[in-house]
Amino acid sequence: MLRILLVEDDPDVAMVVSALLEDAHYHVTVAANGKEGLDMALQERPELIISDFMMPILSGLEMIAKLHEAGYTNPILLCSAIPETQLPTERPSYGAFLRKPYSGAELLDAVTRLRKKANMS
Amino acid sequence: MLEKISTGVEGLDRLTGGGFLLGSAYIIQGPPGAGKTLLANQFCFAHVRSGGRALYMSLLAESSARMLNYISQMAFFDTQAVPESMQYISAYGVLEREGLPGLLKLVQHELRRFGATAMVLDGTFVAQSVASEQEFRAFIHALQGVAGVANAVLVMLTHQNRDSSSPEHTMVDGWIEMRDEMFGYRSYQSIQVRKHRGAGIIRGKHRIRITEHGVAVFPRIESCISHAPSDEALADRVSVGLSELDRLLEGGLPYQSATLLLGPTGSGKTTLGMHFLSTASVEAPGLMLGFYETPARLLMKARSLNIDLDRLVEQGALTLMWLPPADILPDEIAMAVVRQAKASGAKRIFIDGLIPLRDNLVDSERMPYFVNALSLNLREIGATVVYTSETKEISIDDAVMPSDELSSMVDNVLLVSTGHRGPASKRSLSVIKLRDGGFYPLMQEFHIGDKGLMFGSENVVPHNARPG
Repeated sequence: MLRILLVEDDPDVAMVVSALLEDAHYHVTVAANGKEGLDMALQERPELIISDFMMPILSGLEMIAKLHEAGYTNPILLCSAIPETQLPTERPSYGAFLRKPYSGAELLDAVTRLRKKANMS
Repeated sequence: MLEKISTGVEGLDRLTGGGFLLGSAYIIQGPPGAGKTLLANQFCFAHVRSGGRALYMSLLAESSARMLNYISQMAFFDTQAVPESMQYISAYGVLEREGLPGLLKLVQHELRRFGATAMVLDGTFVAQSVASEQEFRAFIHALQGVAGVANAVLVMLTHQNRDSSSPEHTMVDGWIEMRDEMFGYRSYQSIQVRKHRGAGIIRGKHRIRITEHGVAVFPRIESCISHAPSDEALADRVSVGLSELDRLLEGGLPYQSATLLLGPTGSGKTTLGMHFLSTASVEAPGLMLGFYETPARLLMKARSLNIDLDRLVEQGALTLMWLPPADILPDEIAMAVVRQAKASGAKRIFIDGLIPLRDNLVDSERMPYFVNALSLNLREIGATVVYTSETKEISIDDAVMPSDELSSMVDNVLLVSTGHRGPASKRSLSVIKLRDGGFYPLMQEFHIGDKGLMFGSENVVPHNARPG
C-alpha cells in the first residue's frame, strides 16, 4: 500500500481528503502544519506528499525547501487556494500543483498522474 | 499620539473616530451572516493596500479555501496580495491539540514570521469553548499584550452573544457588534461600536449594506452633525420659479432654508417642485431626488406643463436622482444626496417624498432629526431645499395646519388644501411658516394648466389638469 503524507492545516479538508485517499487504498498520515510535515516526512519517508501551501509555522514551500536540503526526493503534490502563478517566483521544485477547492476525482487523478510521472507502481 | 489605521470601511472609520488603534485588540461580534468575515477581510485588504501585511487565522473547522474562494469574488479582493502580503492559515489543529497556550504561541509566532501588522482571529468562541472562563480571560489579556508588542491590530470574530460584562468585552480595546434583525418581513442589518478606546466615536446603531463591494456602513446622519453651519447671506431670497408665489413669500424662499411642502396626493406638490427647479442654471445647479416618477416620466410631465427641464438636464444644470421607494436605507440616500450636491455644486434641491424615507427609517421617531440633519448638511454647501410630504385631504374651508412633527425642524412650511366649487375641484396654497418673514398670510387659490401652476382665485381647474 502506497504511503502518503498529507500536510494540511485545515482540519475539515484533512479529514475528508484522508478518508478519500484511504478509500482509494492509500495509507495516509496527517500533519497539521509544515513543521510537523517536515518532521514526519523525514521520519516516515512516505512515497508521496500532498501539501497545502498557506500553513502556520512553516509554509508548504518552506517545508519542501527543507525536505530538499535533507535529501528527500519523492514526489510532492502542492495544493493551494491561490493560483500557482501567484506563488513566490523563487520557490523550490515540486511534482505537481492542484488548485483548491478540488473535487475528489481531481485529487485522485492528480495523485495518479504524479505516480506515473515518478514511475511508481 | 496613538496611531490609527483604517478599518477599510469609510463609514466605520467615521464611527470609530478614524479606525483601529495600532497595538490594540478588538472584538467583532454578530450572528452568522451578519457580515463579520467580510468586514474582517475588507480590513485586511485595505491594510495591505496601504502597504501593511495581514494574516487571517481561522479557528473554525470550515475550510479556508472555501472562504477564500468566496472572498475572491468581492471587489476589494486583490489577487496580487495573496500570499505576498496577505495569508490565510488555520489554527484549529493547534487549538485542538495544545489548547489556548499553544494557540497563543502560534499567534505570536505567526505575527513575527509574517511581519503582519493586522491579524484576524476568526472563531474566537471556539477558543472559549476549550477553556475555563479564567483561562479564557488570561488568553484575551495575553493576546492584547501580543498585539501591543507587535504594534499590530488584532481583530477577533465571534458569533457568541455575550453580555457587556463578560471578561473579553471589558478587557479588549474595542468591541463592535453587527446585527441582523427582522422588522415585519424586512431584514435590517446594523453595526454598533459598543466600545472603542480613544475619542471621537459615534455611538448607537447604524445601518449597513452588504454588496459585492463588501460591507458599507452608513452613520445615522443626525449623529454626524458636530457644528452649526454659518449664517452668511441668510437674508437673501431664492425664487420658487413662480412670480405670484415669490410675491407671496416677499421675494422667494429664504436662501439656504429648508421648506416643507405639505399636501394630499395630486395636489400639485411635484409641479411646484418642478417650477422651483426650473430656475436652476449652470452657475446655480439644481438636484432632484424622487421616489415615484422616474426621471423620464418626470421630464415628460414637465414638458406637458411647459416647464423646460430637458434643457437644464442637457446643460448639466439639473441632476435627477430616482430610487424605488421600498427597501431603501435613508442614511445611504442622504449621504448620496449630499455627495451629489457637493459634486455638482447644487444650490436648489427638491426632495419629492419624505414618506419613503420615514417608512424605511425603522425608528420613525428619527424622522424630524433626520430631516433637520440633512437640511443642515445641504445648507452647509449653500443649497436651498424643498421637501414634499403627503397629508390627508385638507379642505380649503377649514384649512388648518395638520399636526406634523417635521414642521418645527424646517424653516418654512407651505400647505396645499383642496376643495370644490360646484363640480370643479380647486386647490389653495397657504404659507404656514416662513423664516425671517413677513408673508402675505392668505390662502391663495391656484390651478394647474398647460403652463404649470398658476395663481388666481378666479381660475378653475380644467378637465385635462395633470396633478402632481
